[in-house]
Formats: sequence, structure tokens, C-alpha cells
Amino acid sequence: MNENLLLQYNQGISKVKPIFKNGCIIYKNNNNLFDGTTIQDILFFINNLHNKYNRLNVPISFELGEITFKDKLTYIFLEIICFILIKNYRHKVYVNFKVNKIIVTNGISSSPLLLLGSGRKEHIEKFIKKYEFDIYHHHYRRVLTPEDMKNEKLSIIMDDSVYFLNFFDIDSQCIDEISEVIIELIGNVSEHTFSNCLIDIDIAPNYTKQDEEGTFYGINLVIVNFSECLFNSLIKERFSPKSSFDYERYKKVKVAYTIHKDYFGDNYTEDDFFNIVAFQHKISGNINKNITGGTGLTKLICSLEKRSDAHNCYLISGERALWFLHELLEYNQDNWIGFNKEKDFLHHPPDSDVVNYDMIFMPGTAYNLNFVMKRRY
Amino acid sequence: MSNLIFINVDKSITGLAGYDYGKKIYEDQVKGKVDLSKELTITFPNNIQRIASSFIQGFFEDIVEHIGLSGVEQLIKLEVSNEHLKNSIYNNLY
Repeated sequence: MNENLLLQYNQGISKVKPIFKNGCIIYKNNNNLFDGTTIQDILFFINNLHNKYNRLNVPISFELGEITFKDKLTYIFLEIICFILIKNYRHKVYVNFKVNKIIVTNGISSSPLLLLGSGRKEHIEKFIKKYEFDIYHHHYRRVLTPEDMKNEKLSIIMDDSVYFLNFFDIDSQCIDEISEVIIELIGNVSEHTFSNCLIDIDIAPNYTKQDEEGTFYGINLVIVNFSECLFNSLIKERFSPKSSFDYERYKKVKVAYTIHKDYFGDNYTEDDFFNIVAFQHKISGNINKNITGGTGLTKLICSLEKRSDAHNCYLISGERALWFLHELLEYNQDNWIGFNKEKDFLHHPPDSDVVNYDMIFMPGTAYNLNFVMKRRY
Repeated sequence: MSNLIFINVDKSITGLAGYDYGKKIYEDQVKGKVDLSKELTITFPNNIQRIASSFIQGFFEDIVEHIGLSGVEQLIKLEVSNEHLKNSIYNNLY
């Protein structure tokens, strides 16, 4: 899946010094919160090891202690790192931790990471299998190849996600919406990057809300692809300085750029602008889609606006993150979304909380999303 | 030229998705077989319960290029498994 790009693009000096013990290299974590900073440090740690001890594929043990994963994407990244080490570098990998579960990381109970405690060969083989495919109980996981996303196969994947969600007492219209969001995000990967796509869904039962009676499901969703093509690459190319358009909405984006560029700096960058452009209704990075295109990501926003409960939904691509803050997820009457209180994309930058640097450089695109669904019964 | 089209897809699937697949189905089963200047009825089989916007984009792209969105509204009649699906197809085009 081009996972190695993750290592290649994240070079630096790890704060953790390797401990050599019984023929094994130990990474000892001392932080309770396991977040992007920890992932960055682990990537640095591995690169430092590989640079210093080239081709020495000794066992690596991650002793993480008692931790709380910040969100689902964080532990999925740890899975990806372990997969790279085992599959691509032939390391034997141990992972040991005691986890404090929160609702958005409930899926850790189904994570293949749990198989890496013993270092037993059959468990490591099972890790590889479960990393690539798992449908069990509250967990759905697949790594899709470009071949898996061709022609009618996307329709079959959409059916799969519907069948999975149908196991829970979720309203059928909600299921249709979520499965469409999933398939549009996967479809974007297949259309724009031609790379593999990892999808992981887990259902957290018995979710409660402070302001509403009843019981709810939390649907935690991660979609990741690794590629040299970033989330905004095509749209950025399409709006290159020399571009010109016949279509009114595209012309308006060009004008918006001239206004937004005055705000560009460390906190709001050109990449952020084009990430936001990709979410504009009827704006597509695909040159063949002028009239009908550019609605897939609109579906994501509309669904999150209705069903997201937390401030924990975002995408990362390259070195930037775009946060889907619930109160800012509204298209105005002309179908522009500004990610700002003014609800004005054309004249105002996004609110400062919406965009920021991510701790890692993400070669490709990764989404961390949570939906909250009321139980039917 | 008959202006009725019955879309034929795998009977075991309940949803349609993907821009390329939409385009392929249009090119294989609709393009050149109908007169887009007259009223056209397109029937999707009853097993299809949901259609993703990407499929709709691919399927309708050539039609919209020829007759515009207003032409779709006036001339294209859709026969689908339920009213909600029909509305969602039209909504996805605008």
C-alpha cells in the first residue's frame, strides 16, 4: 500500500533512546497520551535505527505502558507502522500496552495490535491477515487494491458496508448515507491516486449524549491511503495560475484565491486553501467533471453536520490537517462552505481552529471520522 | 428509436457506485441507443436501492452535456425502486 512512504517522509531525531536487551531493541514510551507526537517519535526512532544499523532486522519491542490513544487514527497508524516493520523489513515486533478506552477508540478491542504481545510466529501471521481483512462483531476492516475499486466492485464494497451496518439497530436512511460517504471517500482514492486504500470501521455501542435522551451508536471510521498525490494535488493543479474557466463557480474560486492569499502565512497556507476548495459543491479536481462532478465530498460534510457529535473529525494530508468542527459545517445558500463563522468561503479565511500543522507528514490522505446514530430500539 | 432504456446490472447488488462505473454503464447501455432530444425513460432494476453521487455523475455526464440540467428535468423520466432514490438522483445533479 505504499506504506513505506510514511517512513520516508518522516525523518528526524527520536527523543527516545533505544534500549538493547536480550537481543531486542526496546522503545519505551513514557507518555500517557498516545497521539500524533508519539507516532512522529516512533517514526523517527525507526528511521534512526535503520540508518544506524542498516539491514539489522532485530526484534523491536514497543513498551508503551498505560496509555490513552487520542483517537482511532492514532492507533491505526501504530498498526500501519508495525505492519511495515513486519512485512517490509522482516522485524519481529512486540507491542505491549494497557489501554484506557474512550468512546472514539473503542475499536482498539478489535485491533490486530493485540496479537503482537507474545511475539509468537502464528500470532504475527494472524496480525498480517487481520491487518488486511477483518469482519468480526463490531469491526470491519479491509485493505483495498486499485483492482478492488474498479467498475462494479465499488458497488459491491458499498453493499458490504451496508450489510455490516445493518447488523446494528440503525435507521436505514442513516446507513445509506454513511455507506455513501464511505464509498465516495474510497472512490476519491481510486480516481485520484491509484493506490491501495485502508478502511476501518468500528461500532461503539451504548453511546450516551448529555443533551439528548436515548442510546446511540458511535461509528468510528478511518480511511487511509498512502501516495505521492496529496488530497489537494489535483485541485491545486487544476487551479494553476495559468488556468481559465468557462464555469461560473470555478471563476469564483479563482477570485477567492486572490482574496485568501493575503491571509496566507504560517497558520493558514495555500495548501489549506486548496483543501477547502475540494469541499466546495460542484468543484472537482478532475478536468472531465465540470457540470456533474464535485459532489462526493459535499456528502461527507452534510452527513457530519447532521451526525457528528465530537470535535474529533479531521483529515490530514501532507503536513496539514483540516478539522471538521461541527458548528462550522454548513453550506450557505449558494452552496459554498467557508469553515468559518461568517459562512463565507469567497471572502473570508477559515476559522483559526480549522487548519493546523500535523505532527507527521502524511503522504496521501487520512480521515478520522465519528458519526453518532440513535438506536432504533 | 425507442426511448425506453432498462439498465442491466448484476442482480445480486443493491447499490451502484463509482464515477467510472456510471460512465461505463451509460456508454455500454445508453449512448447512441436513444434520442436525447425527446423524452427518455430510464429504468433501474428493483434490486438497486441506493445510488452514490459518483455513479450519478458518471452516468449523467454526457446527458447533461447534451441537454443541460433543465433538459434532464424536462425530458428524463426515472423509474427506480423507490421515490427517495429518485429524488436523491435528481438532487445529486443540481
